[in-house]
Amino acid sequence: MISGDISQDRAVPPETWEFPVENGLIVARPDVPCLFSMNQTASLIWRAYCETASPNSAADTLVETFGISRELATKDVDATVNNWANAGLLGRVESIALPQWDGQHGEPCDAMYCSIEGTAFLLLTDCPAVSAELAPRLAGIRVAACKPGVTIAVWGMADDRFVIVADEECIAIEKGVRPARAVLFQELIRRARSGRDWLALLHAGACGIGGRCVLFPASSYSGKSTLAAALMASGFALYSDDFTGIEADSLQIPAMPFAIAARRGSWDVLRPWIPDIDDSPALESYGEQVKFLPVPHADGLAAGDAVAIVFTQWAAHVEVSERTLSTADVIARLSGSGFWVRHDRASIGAFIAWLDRLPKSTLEYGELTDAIARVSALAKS
Amino acid sequence: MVTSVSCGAAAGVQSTQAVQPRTAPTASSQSSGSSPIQDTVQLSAQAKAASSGTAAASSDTSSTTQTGSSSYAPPSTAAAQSSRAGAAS
Repeated sequence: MISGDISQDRAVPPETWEFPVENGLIVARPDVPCLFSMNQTASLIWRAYCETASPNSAADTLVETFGISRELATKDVDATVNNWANAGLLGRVESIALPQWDGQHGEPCDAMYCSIEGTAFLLLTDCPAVSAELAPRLAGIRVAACKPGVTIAVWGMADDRFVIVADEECIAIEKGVRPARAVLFQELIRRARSGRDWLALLHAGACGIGGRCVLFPASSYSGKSTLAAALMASGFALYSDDFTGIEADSLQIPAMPFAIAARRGSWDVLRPWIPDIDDSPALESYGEQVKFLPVPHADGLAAGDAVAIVFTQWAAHVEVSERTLSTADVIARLSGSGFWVRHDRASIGAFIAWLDRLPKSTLEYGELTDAIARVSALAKS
Repeated sequence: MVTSVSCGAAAGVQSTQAVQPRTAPTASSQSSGSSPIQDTVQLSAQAKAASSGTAAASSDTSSTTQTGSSSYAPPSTAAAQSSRAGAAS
């Protein structure tokens, strides 16, 4: 049982941001890059705990509200407060030392020019693995050497870390080539148009018809790129097969004109939609064979409006099934698939309001045709 | 506050200026309107959770299922960590 004394690691932070949602509450604190999605019972505990800083008082609230036993209320409050403390919602935050870049880098081993929305980019790297990661994905937007509007470099550091530097501005240091590539591509699209900024980024595919865009967040190896490729081959416009950005001002989804990476396991599945998939060369990527499927006219695609968000999951031999999700459910699920939202009160509020407006569901499927039909219906509804 | 920095490393030019990556975790930098950058600050609690494989996982905070009221649902909080590049495939 929690004592009446609240230790520092269970203290309510001086500032928190609260966003009521249906059947729950989203809470954030300024100094922790997390969203805490609470169900109704946890919300009640939160409000009581913030008001009184007393677990006993919070337990009283549960007893009075639900008529449950004191023992049960105390046990659940205890577990909840411990959970908040462990997750970083309560207590003091101690930063871990950040990696630093000393400005050193090797000689560039590759220089790639590409053009996105009329902006010419020069991409430099001193690491062959980065070059191999970027080159096939940029195939559709490569241009001849020219005077770049923006120069972005990915320099290798120790311990498999990479620093991303855009026009002499240090953007991020990432662990691993793939995360470095993800940040680089997000930055390419952001800088392709002056004034563009991200409200949020979802690890999600996005396809649409007539500017109506369906987002399908999912973790890696869940069939996201395969679904995106099949939708593209079925006449959908591809906005992204990996990271989908939401513009801060317009809340629109700009296209990310990078080739789709289709892993070997998806080739047979995709052949009915992409009969010439066998003509594409297979490249070795992290021990896997991958074919990169070009995205036709992606760079000329205007930004789309999100009309639905569907958490897709392919599984062998399952019947297609769907389940409606609440906004609180979506926040919890996004933690599994991966997401980023600008961390200030207004932006988090805008993101939650954006989610609130969208139809939200899960979609489990065993046949690609079922998923295509469902995404098509959502895009056209 | 760590914020936008000038690296002094023009493309292809060596530089020895020590810099720190821009981050977005502090209250002051978050409201600055600067471009969104991966949140590289890690928190001791999150690091602890990550090491135990529970980071950013939805967690029911109660194992209790028997209640005195049919309307009582055990409290649940999902900690969703916001990271710009963490899940790149």
